Amino acid sequence: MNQLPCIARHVSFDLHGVTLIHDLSLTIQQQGITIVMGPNGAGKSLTLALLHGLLSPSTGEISWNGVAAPQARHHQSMVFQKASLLHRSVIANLTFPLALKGVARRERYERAQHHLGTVGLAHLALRPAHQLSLGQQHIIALLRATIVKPQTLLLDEPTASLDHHSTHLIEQTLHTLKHQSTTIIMTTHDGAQAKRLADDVLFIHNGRLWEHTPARQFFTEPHSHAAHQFLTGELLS
Amino acid sequence: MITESLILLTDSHLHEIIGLSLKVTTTALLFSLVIALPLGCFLAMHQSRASRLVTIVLHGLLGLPPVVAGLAVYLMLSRSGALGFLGLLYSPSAMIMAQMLIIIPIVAVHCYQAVAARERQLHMPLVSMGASRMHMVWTLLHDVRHHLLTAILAGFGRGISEVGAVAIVGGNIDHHTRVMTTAIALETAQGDLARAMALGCILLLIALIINWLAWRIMHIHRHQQQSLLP
Repeated sequence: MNQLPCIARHVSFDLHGVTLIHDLSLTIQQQGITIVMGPNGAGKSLTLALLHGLLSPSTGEISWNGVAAPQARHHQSMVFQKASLLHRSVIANLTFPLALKGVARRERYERAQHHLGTVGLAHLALRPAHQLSLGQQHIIALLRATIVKPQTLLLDEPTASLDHHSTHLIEQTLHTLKHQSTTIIMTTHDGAQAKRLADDVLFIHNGRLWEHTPARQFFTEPHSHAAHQFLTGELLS
Repeated sequence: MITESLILLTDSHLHEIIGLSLKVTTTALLFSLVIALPLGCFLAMHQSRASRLVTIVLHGLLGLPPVVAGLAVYLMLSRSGALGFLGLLYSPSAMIMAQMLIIIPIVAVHCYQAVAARERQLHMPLVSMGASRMHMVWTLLHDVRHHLLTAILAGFGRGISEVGAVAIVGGNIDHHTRVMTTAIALETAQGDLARAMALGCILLLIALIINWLAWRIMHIHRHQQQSLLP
């Protein structure tokens, strides 16, 4: 089942009297990888949390194929900037979301073992998750998000400060998921990564959506001056 | 002193005192956990003016002098007090109540701090995964289990080593409310310092054994989890 289109209408988000997201309106209707780009503090993570229904907009509304964001969340998973693994073994971290969904114990462990095997990390199953390297923790966080077979996967800077090998492994996994018809929305401020992965790009700056265009167009002929500045490495005000 | 301790270990009167010490403190600890763990969790997960006030009061109670706790329980249980009709003064039940007053803030504050810190990190991921409120509480408690064990051991240590409060509400009555600490105080007052020191060594030994047992339980639990794999 497809959750698209994702429609946000005039969404704003205020915190302590400060508007952090201004009048965000967008429609995501093509399956594939949508990259949310922008400088630090632009509002990328907030946008993702709003789309995932973790935060309620101050004004406006967000829906996924007509379903409100908090209800649509049941068919989605999110990977956060910090791996946020539980203080348990790797396999217990992977079986956790399956347990929440009521999957039987034996099946949970079988699926988790298989899932670990797909990225060549089966030997880490019994290791306490917090003893893994940062890169491994992020891969486990991604596996935990995908083990429930979400229709939509949201990722908040999943490869920030990771080494080349871990980044490659995560990107490979995302490509596989994309070919399995999972809708992927991911934030990054790494232009090269966005070029490698993106089908379309949302460019956010100062809490405003400046551009939502196909990736090829965004990287060759960005509409907005802010996006042009961002891509040429100029400092944005 | 070691010889004295060994001789004491065969003394049936001492067995009675050790038994009562353990019974009073274990009971006080169990009742305290029933109150302190949910309270700590609730305070960590609900931000309101009232919960902040309770948190401040609990932190303040960490420094509560045991004699003051004892005095409070004494006033409550004395004939003219609110619970005077129960006739519990100078009984092990009164000692349990006094120890609870000392243990609850320790466990609740530790629980609050550990759960609040972890909740900040895990709230959104857990909501994202579809955890219910109960799942969230249980997951957070499980995640901070090592901190909780430390809190429980700290509470037990504070309870079993307590002397002022239990002396006030228990009265140090032989064969009825005499525990290790009040026995040590009595022997010291009577000038039998060797016997007092020997009792102190036994008390320390008990504390060490209980700490060791707690860590063993954690260790076995970890292995059991690993053996759950098919």
